[in-house]
Amino acid sequence: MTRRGAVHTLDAFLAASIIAMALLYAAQTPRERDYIGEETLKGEGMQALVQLNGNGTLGRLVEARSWGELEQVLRIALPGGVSFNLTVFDEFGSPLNNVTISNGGLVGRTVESLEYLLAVESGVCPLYRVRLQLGG
Amino acid sequence: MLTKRRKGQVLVVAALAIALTILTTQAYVYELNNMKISSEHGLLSDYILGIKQESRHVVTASLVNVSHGGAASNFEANLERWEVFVAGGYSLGRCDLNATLASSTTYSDGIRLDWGANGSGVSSACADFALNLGGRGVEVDWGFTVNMTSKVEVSGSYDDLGDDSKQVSVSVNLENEGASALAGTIVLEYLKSGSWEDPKNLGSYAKLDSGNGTYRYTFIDTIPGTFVRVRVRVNDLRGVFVETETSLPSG
Repeated sequence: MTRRGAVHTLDAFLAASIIAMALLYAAQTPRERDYIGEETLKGEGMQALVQLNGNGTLGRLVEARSWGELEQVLRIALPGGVSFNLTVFDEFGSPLNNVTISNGGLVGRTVESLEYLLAVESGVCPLYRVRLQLGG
Repeated sequence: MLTKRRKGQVLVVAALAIALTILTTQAYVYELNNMKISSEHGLLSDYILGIKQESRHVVTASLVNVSHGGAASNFEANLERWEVFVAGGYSLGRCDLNATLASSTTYSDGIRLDWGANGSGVSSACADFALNLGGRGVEVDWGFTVNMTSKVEVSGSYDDLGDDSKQVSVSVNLENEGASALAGTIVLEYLKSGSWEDPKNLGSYAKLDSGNGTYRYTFIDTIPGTFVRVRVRVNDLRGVFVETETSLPSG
């Protein structure tokens, strides 16, 4: 009877230990994130625009109204399999591109949109708002 | 007796199941948060990086304007336009960008045009920016300084060939923000009998572009005097204008 009681006590102790260890491990899960995860369409689009205008390329193409060249540059800058549609607005919100800047229309299960503010390194400092819609 | 012994085993198995559930749930929540936070964090970082990058372009555009004769007040006007534009361009909350023009002994209203007669010319624009983003659990306060500077340095000497005939060697070095930079256009002139002359018109004119922001020129002409006065006018690849003059001694 005494031995049986001791075994039950050990069983209960083992069970409690397992749960306690699980709780302890869960509590120690790091709060810091490594920020390496899946990139969203928005993130990829924003990265592409930031990189494109690092040396002012995007601004120069917009300023020169080179819509065809802009489309080609975006085709290269964005990952394959991502569809895009770009609209350029002037400082006061009027759309500028009179042709569609796209690689064939927005296709994909997810469509996201982002805006990028653009300043051009020319004498009058034109400002533009670029709206990029992405599908993937 | 057997049933009672099994009760203990069931207790341990149940504890294992509960522990496993706790750990699995924790791992799932962690992974979900990780993905969400990482993508939002990356997007926000790129947005802020974009604001800083375009602020540099605004400062550069203003320097292009002012260095070509525009009013210094254009710099402040451009920054004010940019502040308003940025405030209206952030859809996830509040975005305030405040620019302060650099003011010191060398800068006036954020601009420094020091086109000296000592062989060194500087065109520079400088402003301090304070960016404040808020909303949707995000609070960012960040300050950065943008200083865009084009600097040209001219040096050289001449060899006296007799009867005021001189072989002149000129070296021009261009820098953007302290690093060697290529020039868009360079106009070199020398002073002869009170008027500025273009050495390209001489048969002896030669130019060497080192490809690293250093340009060397040589030419021969009859230039009276004990020194040769030269002037260099440069537009860098960004369009910023800078010029300087200097007197070249006998080598």
